[in-house]
Amino acid sequence: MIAGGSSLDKALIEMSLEDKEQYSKKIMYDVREKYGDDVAIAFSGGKDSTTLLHLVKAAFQEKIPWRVFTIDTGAEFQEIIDFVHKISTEWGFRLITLRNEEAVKSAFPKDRAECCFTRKVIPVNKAITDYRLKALLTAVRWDEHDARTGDLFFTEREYPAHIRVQPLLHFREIDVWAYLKKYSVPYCILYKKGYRSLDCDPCTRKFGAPGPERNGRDQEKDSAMKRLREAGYF
Amino acid sequence: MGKKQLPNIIFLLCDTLGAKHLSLYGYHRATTPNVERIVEQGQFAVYKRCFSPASWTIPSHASFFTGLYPSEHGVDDDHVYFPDNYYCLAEILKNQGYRTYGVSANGLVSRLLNFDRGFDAFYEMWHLFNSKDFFAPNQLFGRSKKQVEGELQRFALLLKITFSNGNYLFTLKKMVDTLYKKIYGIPQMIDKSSLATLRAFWTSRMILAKTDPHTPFFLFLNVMEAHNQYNPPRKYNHFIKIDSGTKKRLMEKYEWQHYALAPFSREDFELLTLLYDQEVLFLDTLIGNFYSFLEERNLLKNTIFIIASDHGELIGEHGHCSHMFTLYNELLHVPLIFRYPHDFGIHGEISRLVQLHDIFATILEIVESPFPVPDSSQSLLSAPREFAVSESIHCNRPIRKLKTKNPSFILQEFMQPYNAVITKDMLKIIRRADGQTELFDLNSDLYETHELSDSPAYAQQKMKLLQFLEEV
Repeated sequence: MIAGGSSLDKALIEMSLEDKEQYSKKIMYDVREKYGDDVAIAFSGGKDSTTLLHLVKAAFQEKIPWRVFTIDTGAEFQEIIDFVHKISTEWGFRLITLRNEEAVKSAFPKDRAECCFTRKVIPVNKAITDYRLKALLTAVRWDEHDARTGDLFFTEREYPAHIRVQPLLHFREIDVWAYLKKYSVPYCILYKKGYRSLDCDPCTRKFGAPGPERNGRDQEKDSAMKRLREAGYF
Repeated sequence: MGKKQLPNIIFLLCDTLGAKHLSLYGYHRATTPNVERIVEQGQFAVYKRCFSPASWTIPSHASFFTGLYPSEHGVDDDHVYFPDNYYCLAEILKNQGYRTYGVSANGLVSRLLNFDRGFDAFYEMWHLFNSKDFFAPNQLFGRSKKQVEGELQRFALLLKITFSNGNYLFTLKKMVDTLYKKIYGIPQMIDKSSLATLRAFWTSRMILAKTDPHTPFFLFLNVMEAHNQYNPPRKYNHFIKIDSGTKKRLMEKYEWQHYALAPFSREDFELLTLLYDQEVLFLDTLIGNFYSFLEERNLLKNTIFIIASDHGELIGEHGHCSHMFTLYNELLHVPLIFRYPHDFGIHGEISRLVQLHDIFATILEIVESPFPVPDSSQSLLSAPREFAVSESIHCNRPIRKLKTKNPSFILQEFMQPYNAVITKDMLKIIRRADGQTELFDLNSDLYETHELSDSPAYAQQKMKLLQFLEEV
């Protein structure tokens, strides 16, 4: 089994795309062997999670062996909602929509981090508990945000207890696009409208501030990233 | 495409160079003999019908760097900062393995406004040294100008910090740079553009002479020669010899006087046109020299060389000057000259409808980039455009500027946002924010002298274009 790995491994980043794919698949096979069916994949409809889902499909003979979660925060772009459902239909998997009903019905809190916690973290944590999941796959990459450079491929999470698996950590932004191009994987049309990084509609700003890839997203929330991630955020 | 096979890219952006004033594009004065020569020798493709998506520097640059229209990227006079949440050309090429260089003589195409995004090195002609330390003009070691009032205090603080950390070289460079900016800062990029243009070409030569021959490079070069003030070196007096008093009168209050005080006369505009044409001729000479350098250094072998402009200039046409309001073709019709790698076999005059920001999709296609190309940018190597769109989404900046010059200035009807559509059949409609429209047939009237809105012969086309404007 691939170990937790060290953070931001340059040798892994400099691998060819083919080698990166194989490395990611090896992680997926390890997950399958160790945790069986008690695994889910988080699918937001963004470029990274689309790549992750396609890689899972490719690793297991075109059949996704695990549950696929998407989160309804009540504030997604319609284009994202349409895309997520289109992929579910075309790739033949059942999409499980997670929603914090109470939060979705209420007004958006001023604190964006709090908003993310109530609308994303709480329903994901509840699903992990309800489905008795042992592992959750997410599409986090080292190069997308400074807060993620210390991430590992496998991390033990406590509340609720599960293993967070991040098989795309070593993919750079260009690798994700190269992968999508190589396999002609469809992606959300918002990327054709100039967006580089997608979050919920109110937190995705096209007219953003200086910085790395995620700067099109709400900066208040991104500055609270460490706190959010400790609570279970991706 | 392997890293070694990637073509080098040189993108020469001649700020404010309208196609109308280039003899290459049919102008009656011989303003571009050198460009015509290199186009012939170098087998360039000359796009005769290229239209900018915007009428001034910032939205236009943001468009060709991103492939988006101004209303998509939102960069305009109320949002001048070039944001990070869309891919930009230099960044993509850097990701592809290019060494990326930017050289800018335009104070707006600057680090301050984030236009250095994606460039390994970005040289601003209003700084003597290329160092990020010289950036942040309102900051001195983290303290704002308000905290450190006056130059003497700032100088004292600089010395204090120098002696405390022992970085004498930086301090010396900082002081020299400060003195340089006093003589040759951002305002002088406009007033005395010739020296900045010469330095920009010289800097580019230095970069190319030293660049690693095994790594593909992208060089973006903005020169401001054609921008007002029209002030070429004295020896460039082929079209007009003007006395210094008249020149001073025309230059000092150019632009704001016309709109906010007293309009220039027809005679004034004729003189200004001649001065502008001399600027173009001077620039043409420098482009010819630069091309010779590339030839001598054998740098053209696997190189895409693009010459273009972000927008043109109005010099009295339609009652306007400079590039502040309106979307007439004096502003939108820009040169686009492309030297493709030889094996592409594309050269000569090309009459298809194209837009400046199609450069984005074209380069991404040539370098086989995996990054997404916005639908708004269409590769010059693929099917022709059905239509071109241009937008002026705000005009608060020029209005504010005019008000500062003349507080009693009265807002005029034409000072509104505009959008325009040009079809592949060369019909053009311009719509002002208040709904007023103008219709032109560019086949016979490229620079819009015969308005056709009320012509029964064009009634059907007008309806279609209006509907189309609603859709886009």
